[in-house]
Amino acid sequence: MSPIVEIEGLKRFYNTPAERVEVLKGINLSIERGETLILKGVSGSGKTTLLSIIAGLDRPSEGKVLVEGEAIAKLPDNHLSHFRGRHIGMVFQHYNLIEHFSVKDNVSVPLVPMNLRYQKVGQRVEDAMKKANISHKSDMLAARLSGGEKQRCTIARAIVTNPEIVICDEPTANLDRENAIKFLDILKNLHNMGKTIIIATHDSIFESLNFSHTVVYMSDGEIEKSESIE
Amino acid sequence: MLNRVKLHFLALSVFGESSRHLATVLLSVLVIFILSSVLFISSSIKYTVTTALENEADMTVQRVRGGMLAQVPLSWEKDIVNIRGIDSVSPRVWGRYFTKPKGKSFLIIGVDFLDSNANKALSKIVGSTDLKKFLNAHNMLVSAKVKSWMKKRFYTDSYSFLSADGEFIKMNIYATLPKNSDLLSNDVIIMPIDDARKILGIKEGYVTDFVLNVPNDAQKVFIEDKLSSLHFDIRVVSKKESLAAYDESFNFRNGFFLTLFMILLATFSLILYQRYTQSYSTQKRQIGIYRALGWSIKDILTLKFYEIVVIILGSYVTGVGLAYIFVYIANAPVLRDIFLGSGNFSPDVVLIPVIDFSALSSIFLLYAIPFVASVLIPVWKIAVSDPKEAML
Ligand SMILES: Nc1ncnc2c1ncn2[C@@H]1O[C@H](COP(=O)(O)OP(=O)(O)O)[C@@H](O)[C@H]1O
Ligand SMILES: [Mg+2]
Repeated sequence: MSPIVEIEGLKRFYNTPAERVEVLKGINLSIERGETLILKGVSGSGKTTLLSIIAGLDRPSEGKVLVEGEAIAKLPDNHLSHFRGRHIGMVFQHYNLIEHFSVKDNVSVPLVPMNLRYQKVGQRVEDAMKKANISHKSDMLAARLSGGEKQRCTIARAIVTNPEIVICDEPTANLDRENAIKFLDILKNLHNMGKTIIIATHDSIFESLNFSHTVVYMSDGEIEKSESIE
Repeated sequence: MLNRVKLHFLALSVFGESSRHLATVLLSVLVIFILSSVLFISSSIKYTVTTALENEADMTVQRVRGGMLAQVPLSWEKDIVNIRGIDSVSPRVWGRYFTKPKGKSFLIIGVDFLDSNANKALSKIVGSTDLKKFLNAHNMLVSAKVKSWMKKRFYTDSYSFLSADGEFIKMNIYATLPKNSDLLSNDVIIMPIDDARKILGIKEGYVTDFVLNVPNDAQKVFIEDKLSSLHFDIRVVSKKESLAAYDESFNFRNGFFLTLFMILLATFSLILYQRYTQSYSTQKRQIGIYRALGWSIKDILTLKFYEIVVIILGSYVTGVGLAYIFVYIANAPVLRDIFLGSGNFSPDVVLIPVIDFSALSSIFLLYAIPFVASVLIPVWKIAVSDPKEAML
């Protein structure tokens, strides 16, 4: 089977008034279906930029990016949004929940543009909240949740569309140790469900990940090395 | 279109974020309330005045002596009747009676028992009241407002007028005129012509003026000229002129209020624009999140559009509804005085509901367009840029 994500010669520049900043300097990366990939690197090494490009939230300046065989950078907005909604689940560092919505309404956001029946949406939301272990707070406003609960709400929202790929940017940065360990358990569940998981982090807690995964080391917009851990 | 999921989401976005929208909604309701109230009052008054004038005679013949209105000799009647094309000439005895020491004034109208025309009109007003009986004694019919004014001064069944000769003439309050919303007849007192003459000091053989009709519109100018040349001291006022005079005063007011509208709307748009650009970064973040979660630009613009439509329609209906209640049910306290002045009996006028749909819809457009623009344009600007924002 072909890789789910294929990246060749990816470059990303930003034009600031003073100079042209090269944030990604020729990335080659291929991610297999069902693989868990940890992107490691210090802050500023380009991890978030790479994730944004894979998710179609940012566009490459140069190079080829195929996700599910689709050259996503070339898709027009409505197709790209559609693609993103169906294939990619996002977990953000700052959770990005809508604070004045309840947990279940937050989780339903990715389903709204899909023209599903009301009952169907309810079912899927229920299901996702169960998997992310947040069902018991389903009617609580997002603003009232603790950090760990917000994180789980975000995960439920990321998997509610049943995407193949789950992308997490610094998922444990705002969690205490206990919640970070819980997060690893949820990751394991996702892995067992066959999801492809891409995580950007500089948290050493991922060293205790107890299932097979790949670690890719990034530095200054380049991939230094990658290793498979069984 | 909107399915149940989207409706639910729309409701969440509008009402869940009520704190963000509340100030906007209150401001909108206030602006629309003021604009509609002003509109309701002015269209009601305009309607009342024009219909009242429309019912008036085509021309009024007066006499001017030394530049002042003077009593008209009854003998003019036959000269007027002689002009062809003139219909139903009637002499009128009436005048404004100013109470002492100061304050209100009444419009005294004398009615001739022998004048069949006047009798017909009067029996229409008085209805069941027996005319003959009324006209044979010192009786008068007063408007409700006049009656309550008199009652306050303990004139419960009669009122003594100080006549032109300096003697008191006691008139019985025979009945109250049917409650009339007519702006122009609020301070009216109707009494037999002889009593009216005595009080107002109009000599036998003289009247206040003549009114007449000209059925053929094409002849009006010609007849006006003809009348004017009858006597050196004659003065002819046509209905067209009085309508124009009223119109002018309304146009003046409308111009004034148009300026007010514009200032109000400009301020309103400015405040709105500021509100929505101040929340720019919040908006940007939220839109970035939606897009990262698979919403297209169109999905976001559609949601925001419906959000605004709900807010606009909600505030518009509320504002207009409140204005309707304020003007037509509560009779527009305070604002009515600005329009009618607080003199005499006019502030007690009942405002008849008149709805000017074209003006209401222009208020709607003037309100909705800047609103939609000041909200949707920033949203659109955000939505079309790459949504990397959510990642930061
Ligand atoms: N829009 C932008 N304009 C200019 N520079 C940017 C922009 N976005 C990111 N960068 C720069 O790119 C570099 C990599 O950023 P990022 O991908 O967020 O790294 P990481 O997630 O590894 O901390 C940083 O030095 C950052 O300042
Ligand atoms: Mg980052």
